[in-house]
Formats: sequence, C-alpha cells, structure tokens
Amino acid sequence: MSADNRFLKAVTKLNELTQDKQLKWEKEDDTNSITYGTENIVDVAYYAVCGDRRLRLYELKYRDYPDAPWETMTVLEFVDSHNKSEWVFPENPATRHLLESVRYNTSKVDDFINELLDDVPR
Amino acid sequence: MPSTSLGVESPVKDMGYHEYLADVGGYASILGLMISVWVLINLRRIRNQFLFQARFPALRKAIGSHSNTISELLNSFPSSASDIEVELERCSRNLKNLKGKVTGTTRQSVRILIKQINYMTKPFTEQSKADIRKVYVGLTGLETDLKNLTEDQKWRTE
Repeated sequence: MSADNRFLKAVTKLNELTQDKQLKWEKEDDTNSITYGTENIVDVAYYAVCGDRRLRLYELKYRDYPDAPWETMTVLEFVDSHNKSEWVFPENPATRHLLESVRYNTSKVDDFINELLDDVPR
Repeated sequence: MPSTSLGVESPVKDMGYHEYLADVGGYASILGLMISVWVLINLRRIRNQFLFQARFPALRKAIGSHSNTISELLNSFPSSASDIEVELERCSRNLKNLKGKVTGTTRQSVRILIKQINYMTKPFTEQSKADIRKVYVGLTGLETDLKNLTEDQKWRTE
C-alpha cells in the first residue's frame, strides 16, 4: 500500500470513528496561535485525542500574494500539549469530508432534527 | 523503356522491368498499409485525448461530489439509507462512463468499485454500513488518482 493510500485510510478511519461518535472533537474559537504572524484566517479549530495523540483540524483560508484570490485548504495535524503543530497530514479529499463530519457532530445536527421533528404536531 | 540495339524491345528485359515495378509496387503497398495503420492509431489517440480533455474534468468533479455526499449522508445513517442508495446508483452510472476513458490501475479501481456497488444488498440496513464505507474509501482513493492523472495529462499535452 502506498504512503498516500495509508494516510487516506487513516483519515477515513478517523471519519468513521467520528460518525460513530467514538471520537469526540472539541470546538475552539481562539485560533490566534495557528495564524500568528501571517494574514491567514482560521475561524474555528477542532481538537480530539486519539490514542495518545492530540489532533487538530481546521479550514485554513490563505492567499499566495496580497492581491491573489483567497483559497482554502483543510488541515489535519498532530499537536503537542501547547497546541504547537508537530506534523501535518498530506492533503487529501478525505480530510475535507472529516471536517464536515466533525462540524455535523459538534453542531449536534441529529439532536436538533430529532427534537424538531418530535415537537412538530402531525 | 528498355530496348535492343536494333530498336526492338526485349521481352526478357521488359519482364525484369515489370517485375521490378511489381516489387516496388508491393513494397509501396506494404508501406502504405503501415502508414495507414500508424495514422489510424494516432487518430484514435487524438480522439481519445480529445474525449479525455472534454469529459474528464466533469467526471472527476462528479466522482468527488459522490464521495462527498456519501460521507455526509453516513453522518445520519440509517435514516439516510435510501438517499445513499440513490447516490450510489448515480455514482455507478458515472463510473461506467469513466471506465472507458481510463487505463491501467485506475481502470481496475473503477471496475472494482462498480462491482462493489452492484453486489450490495438492498435495501440498506445497519449491516450495510461497512460495505458503504468500503465504497466511500474506494471513491476517495479514486478521486486522488484522477487528480494525479489530470496533472500528468497537463505535462503530456504541453
């Protein structure tokens, strides 16, 4: 199995654990430490502990030079106990899917829809 | 035209000349056939390349969209089971279309994915989740392969 494939499978496994609610992610609005010293934008970051590793996931908005259009990329990385990046997973489509699943679960979409549908008189 | 010193054409020499012409004609025909085959192969290659350039980006986008949608729908499984079924059916059609446009290991991956989708037991239940995930992983891998293929193609045509 190629290295790319191994990373892809690892990220899809994280997605599976997230969707099955076995991996809990915490939302963090303070993202200054990620973008410090750059003009990059990170609205929110998500943290989780998997085994003995701490993971961080976020969408990074960046541009290559001042007048260039803004672009986005999804970043999944290992961080230390001080939230300093240790290693970034190579970018692949599964990372974006993982971020969607994390957003879905941390926003408790299922609970909201279930409550809403249970309350609606039939 | 070959002739004797008396001005009468020699049938022996004439025959040799005709044989020579026939040989040249034969070689020319073989060469012509080879050129025709070469032109045919190149025309086919250009046609495939044109088809690839025209349809491939849209198909690549569609495959990305299918894997994205399936991943999203898995969040609300099993209530989204019927939606996943519809999405996989659409995906299968696009995969069949893509199969004719790719070669080698990518074609093999597409073939395996079509088979996996076809052999799934429907309607989906909680037990189908693992199979759906397997297809999702395959689609995400294929998306990466197609992205690399697009990059390679850029170098081939430049």
